[in-house]
Amino acid sequence: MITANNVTKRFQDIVALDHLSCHIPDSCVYGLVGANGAGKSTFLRLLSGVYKPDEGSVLMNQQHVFENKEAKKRSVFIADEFWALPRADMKRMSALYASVYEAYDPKKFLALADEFGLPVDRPLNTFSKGMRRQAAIIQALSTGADVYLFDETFDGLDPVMRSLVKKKLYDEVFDRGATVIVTSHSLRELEDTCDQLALLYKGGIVLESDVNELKTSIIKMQIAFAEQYDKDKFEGLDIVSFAKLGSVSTLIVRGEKMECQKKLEAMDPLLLEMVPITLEEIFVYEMEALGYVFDKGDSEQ
Amino acid sequence: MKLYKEMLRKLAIVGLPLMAVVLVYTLIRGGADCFGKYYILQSSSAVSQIPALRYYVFSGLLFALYGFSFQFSRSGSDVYHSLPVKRTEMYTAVFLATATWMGATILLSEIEMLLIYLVSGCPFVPVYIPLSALYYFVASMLVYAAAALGCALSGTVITAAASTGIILFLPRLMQFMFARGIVERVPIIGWLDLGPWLDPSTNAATGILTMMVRNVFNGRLITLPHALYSLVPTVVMLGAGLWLFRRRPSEFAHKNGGYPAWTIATGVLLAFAVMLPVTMNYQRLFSVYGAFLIAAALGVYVLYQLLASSKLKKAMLTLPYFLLAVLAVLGFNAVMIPARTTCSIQRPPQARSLR
Repeated sequence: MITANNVTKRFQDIVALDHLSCHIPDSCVYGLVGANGAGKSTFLRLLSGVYKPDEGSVLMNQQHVFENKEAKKRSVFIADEFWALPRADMKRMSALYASVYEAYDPKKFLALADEFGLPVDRPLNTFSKGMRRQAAIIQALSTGADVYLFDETFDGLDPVMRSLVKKKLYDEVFDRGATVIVTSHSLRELEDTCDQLALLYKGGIVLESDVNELKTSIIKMQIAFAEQYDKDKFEGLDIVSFAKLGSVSTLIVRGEKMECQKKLEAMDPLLLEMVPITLEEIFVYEMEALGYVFDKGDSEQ
Repeated sequence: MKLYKEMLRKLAIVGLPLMAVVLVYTLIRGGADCFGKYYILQSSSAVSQIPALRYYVFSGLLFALYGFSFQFSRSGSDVYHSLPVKRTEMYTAVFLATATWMGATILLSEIEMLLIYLVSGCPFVPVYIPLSALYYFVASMLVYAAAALGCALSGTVITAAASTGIILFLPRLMQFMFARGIVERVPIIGWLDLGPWLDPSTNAATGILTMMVRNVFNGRLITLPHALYSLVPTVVMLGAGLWLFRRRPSEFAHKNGGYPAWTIATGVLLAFAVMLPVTMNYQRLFSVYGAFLIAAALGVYVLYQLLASSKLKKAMLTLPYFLLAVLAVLGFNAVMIPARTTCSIQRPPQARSLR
């Protein structure tokens, strides 16, 4: 269990994280979404012990992370920007990680490199951006850590590699009970990967939920009636959003799908059609319901 | 132990080429001296035994800059600071790996020189070999310690290198100015008589530089007391470096001066160091020589600020702080002039002033 209690991190006048609190359970894939500058990378750096919180605490299994070797042994952090020793190849970087992670598995490293099709003795500076990300993921998976912290690591991977990486991460979660925390500025990148999603906004988590629960708790439909009507017609339903164009309305309703459908069918509509809803839309609607107002730049993220 | 081995491997990029250069240079130069016309010089002092080492000790800076290079980029800092390693262990590993590389290079070149002596039949004083090995090792560690302290204060290579220069040389330069300024016009007291703290040859690293410009020190430089004396600032600086490294926020990475005010302070201290020679002679402060030194100091200050900030506008905004360096030099003069006047009074009076 990873716990952040009222964590604040400032960089001179900028408050990157503002009294952020969250609990990340074991054995899950936890996604952190937010616009650029929302504080995702800062939060991961606090979780990995790179930064020390100015206020509050970051605990991994009830242990403070910063300057705590025992707590840090359990986690591995892959930052958004790739780094390698000068002229190093994957073998050399493997030796670096093996020197500090007691549970580092060189056989697993070689097997993963083989599976990903990456040459272990080719200088990393000749790798493409995607290959470097794969190399970093392979190093992380070989450390034997229980907590993987990936900062925008999946962004830019091709679909085949994304699928392979996801499979490997799920293996870690199911076989070893590992926890994966991954950030992205794009919800689409994480939608099909995470069990839990949190939205970071201006240095705080404004929404945190189970992905399946989110997806099943909100439905989107189009409906039309012969007579004139407005939002008041749907009084018995928990309407999150209502938009009418001509006689056809688009409804976003919070609730159980079958139950809502029955209620609406009972109103004898001319048209009633379920429309697929993306996680991104759900987040936007939920955020609006919470009273957050996005400018155009934010909503595009 | 694993981390130490890893650091040893990392520092091989610096250590191996330098070792090769030192050994080849020792072979050529030492061989030429022993087999050639400088035969007699070899036996006269420990200094000339290992010609390459007097330069090699300053590579302590390279070892520190490369060992702590992860501090100079955000991505490197992310990797190293997220590893399950305590900062004390990291600092110790870099130090031990540097000590191993530099110690091994010094030892090998000493052995190489010993072999040259034995083969050539050149006379030598056996005790000079372990003594000079110890001396050069302490000098190397002194330079490394100053650089490690500079790295702990900085977030970029340029500020780390500038800080190292200030830490290593500015206190000695001030001591030199103090001693020189007070007694320069007093013929009966040489500034070498002022005790070890003001004697430029006692500090191993700066002493070697002094030796390079003044051969008179050659015979008295490499001694056990000097090596032991230099161990004190080495240990103090290593301790201060560790203390700062443990407290250094990792967000300093890739920021000019690690501590926000350090960039300004570094520039001011650099300018101060350049202007310091004007205190040697009060009249020079308001002469062409003084103006030249102030202009040179300003140039160094602006160049440093430009390199550190990479932005002309930002560098120009720091210009007013240059006045701090000027004020510091004037303050130094204010102390030096009365002190020197007091000393001058002790001089024998001019014949014409006697009645």
